[in-house]
Amino acid sequence: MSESNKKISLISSEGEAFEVSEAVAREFEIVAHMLEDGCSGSSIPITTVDSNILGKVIEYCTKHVEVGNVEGNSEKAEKDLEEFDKRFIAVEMNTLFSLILAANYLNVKGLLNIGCQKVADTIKDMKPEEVRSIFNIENDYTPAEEEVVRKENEWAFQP
Amino acid sequence: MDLLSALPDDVRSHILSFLTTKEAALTSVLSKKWRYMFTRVPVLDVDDSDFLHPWIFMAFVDRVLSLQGDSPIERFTLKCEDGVDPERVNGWICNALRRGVSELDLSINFEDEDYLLPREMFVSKSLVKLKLTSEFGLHWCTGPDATFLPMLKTLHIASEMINMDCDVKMEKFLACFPVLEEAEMTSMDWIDPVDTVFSPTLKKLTVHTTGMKTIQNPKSISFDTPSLLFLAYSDYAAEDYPLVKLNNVAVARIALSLTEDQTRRMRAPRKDLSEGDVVLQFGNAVKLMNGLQNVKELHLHPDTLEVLSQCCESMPVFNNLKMLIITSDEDRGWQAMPALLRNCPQLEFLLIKGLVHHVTNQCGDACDCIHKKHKGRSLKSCPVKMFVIRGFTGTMKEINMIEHFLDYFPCLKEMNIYVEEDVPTPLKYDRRFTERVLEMIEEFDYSYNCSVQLLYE
Repeated sequence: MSESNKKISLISSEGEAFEVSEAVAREFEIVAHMLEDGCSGSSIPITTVDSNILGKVIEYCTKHVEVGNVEGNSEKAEKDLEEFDKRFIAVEMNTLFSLILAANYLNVKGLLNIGCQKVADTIKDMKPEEVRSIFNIENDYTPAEEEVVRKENEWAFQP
Repeated sequence: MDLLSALPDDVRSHILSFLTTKEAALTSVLSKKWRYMFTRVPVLDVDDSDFLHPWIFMAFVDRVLSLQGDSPIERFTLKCEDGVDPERVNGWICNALRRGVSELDLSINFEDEDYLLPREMFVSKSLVKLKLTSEFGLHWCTGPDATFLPMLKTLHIASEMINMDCDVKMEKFLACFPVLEEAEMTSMDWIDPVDTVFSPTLKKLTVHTTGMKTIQNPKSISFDTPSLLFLAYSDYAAEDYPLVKLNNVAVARIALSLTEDQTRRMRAPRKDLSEGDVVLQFGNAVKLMNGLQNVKELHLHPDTLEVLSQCCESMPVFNNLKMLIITSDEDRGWQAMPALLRNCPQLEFLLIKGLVHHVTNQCGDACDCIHKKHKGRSLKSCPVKMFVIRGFTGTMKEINMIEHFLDYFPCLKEMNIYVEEDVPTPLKYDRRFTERVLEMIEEFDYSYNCSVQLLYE
């Protein structure tokens, strides 16, 4: 077990404080580094993440720390965690991208992975036209340019 | 708003790393921001079956590699079969190795027995994870000292290894990977019938031997793996296990196989066996069990139960065992069951797949196959709380056995009985039969201080 039950406050962009245990805060690699660099303050501002998203990231980290501390049947614990991850990441698109950005900024690897995996799973098996329409991607190629790109990677575009 | 394209480049590249390279290449056409994104993904993940012709596949891989240039690569996943040029394949593998690849997952199905993986692969200083799969077998690089992977943590071999360094024993083979933590060898053979699985660093080990090349039963197998936490071991029963250092193993799955003839001889009276019969040595399996005394979760295969019948008297006490999972078989006996159940003083969870077993004259204690004076004695001392029965078919024999368990397990709180998809039973189509069985189960649920449920998978 970690040496302390020390609490740390994470401050969202709106100024709201979230009190978490040090173990949970350390799941944010960015915070872990700050603590290792001797930043001893008990409140850490997370200026780029709003309360809604910060709350969710904390929920994710708390669950993972909890499960990591439980001894015993690891297979079952892993399955439960997988289930949790699956439910956790089943959110609408805006939230998904906010979570990915927050996970990337705070360096929460597990969360970044499930977020990116979720986007990849959406793209998979879709035609480029469908991907464009789902994610609102503006096609800035002229038809001639697009043809060149298709030609460049023609082997990938064949069935 | 286009939130996807607005993500930082490394995040977009990370997203594409979860796709195959072909899928990732399709994003090049989305918009200008995506044109070369897929070439920055530090992964190459290609499968020839995704392409119409092997030559299209090869041209695609060549093109992606040339676009990736010298940039570092983390993972190379390749699946290919005959039709793809073996030399090109080796060129790709060497390309990835030069760029410091840490994870190689190769599924190469060339029928040609002369195909050799590149020598460079066996001495890579960057490989952390290596997975080799083949239907036809692969050569492990031959020649003395041709293998040394100083960073390798995970090794999976799902292929017969032809000429594994000619005559390298497991003991010497594992020494080529000084930091190995996880090994899975699902189609291997002992080169020498006397061998030792030796590794001070190994935490997780899965060994499945086929016994095709050597004489089936190995003579002597030792385990010197003090850091091991998980062991899945499937092999023909060995004559001896002289050294077993598995003190830290928490989860063990043991499948010691026998031939039909050996099973028959083991059940025969001792005096009928010729001196030097190999089955007389099988009691040494107790040495393996002694080494596993600290397990928390133990899975046993039907043949293993039969092998353990040779050492019931000396069965160790499993003081930490909480979960016991037994796969039973109608042609294999339960002679070892009473000893096992008596020697698990902390047991909480018991799962038996298939209650029907071969009736021997040792039956009548853990089961009620024949009438015995000491009926249920081994169950009375067993503190198990939860009992799962799988592969239930609804026969009276099974129902009587369930009643026997309910009568004698003193702490049982919950019994879940599963009807499974892959086990044929009238419970799936005969309504009247099912109703009768359900009535009996409900009766049990009502009259015992234990919840009894029939469940469908």
